[in-house]
Amino acid sequence: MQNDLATRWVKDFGDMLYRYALPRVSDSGIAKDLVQETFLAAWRNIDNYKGEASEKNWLFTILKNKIIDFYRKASTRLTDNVDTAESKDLFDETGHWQNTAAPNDWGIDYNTAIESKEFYSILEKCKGKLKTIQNAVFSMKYLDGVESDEICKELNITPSNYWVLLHRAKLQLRGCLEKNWFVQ
Amino acid sequence: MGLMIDCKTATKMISQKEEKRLSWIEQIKLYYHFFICKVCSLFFNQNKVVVKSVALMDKHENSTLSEDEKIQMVAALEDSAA
Repeated sequence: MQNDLATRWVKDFGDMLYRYALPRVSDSGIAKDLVQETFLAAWRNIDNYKGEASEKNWLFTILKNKIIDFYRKASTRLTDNVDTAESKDLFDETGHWQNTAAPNDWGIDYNTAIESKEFYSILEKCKGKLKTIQNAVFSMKYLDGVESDEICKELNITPSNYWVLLHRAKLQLRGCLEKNWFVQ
Repeated sequence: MGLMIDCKTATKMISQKEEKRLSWIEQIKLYYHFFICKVCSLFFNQNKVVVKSVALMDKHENSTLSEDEKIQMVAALEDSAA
């Protein structure tokens, strides 16, 4: 009977949980591990499951906590201030764009949402190239819409580190998308 | 002082704009910069596309676990039942 439950959980919720974790951690191996850990944690605590929340909501709550824990591990490695030296490959010493980094026109309507599947798979790859802590801040802000002060509190980072991480993430993502998607 | 800002400062102000309201003098500086700098205008528009697309990632995520991975997950649960 217990084994039936394991099979049913994985069958009913496995993909759903994986699809939630993947864009937030941007690494399929880590996303799978987090889903597995979520099932294991639920399995061990099955006796405490009161049935007040649906099984689905209960599993999602566990997964969300696992994702935050994963983010926090990256933020504890951030011991000092984020290096505030500007990257020289984007701007020259007079503050102008370097030729190689200057944005090119993507030739799209910038006010319309992009629907292309390929675009989203490149976006996921580009997000995966960010440092984990950058991706954490960026995902919390723009994927989950968490308020800035809440992000700082959850990840235990200073507002100035938060700001630098987010700003750099945006610069890096834009450049990566342009290189891999818009300008062939 | 004056109204002139460089591109590095302009991109920072574009990021700041998403966090808080810019002061009117900052806004004037930024929009004046857009007026004279096509590249930063592009950056402004592309940055909007980036942050908007990220919010749609869940909708476009259709990855699945393989059957093997699912079998392994079930097995891991059964193994841990002690």
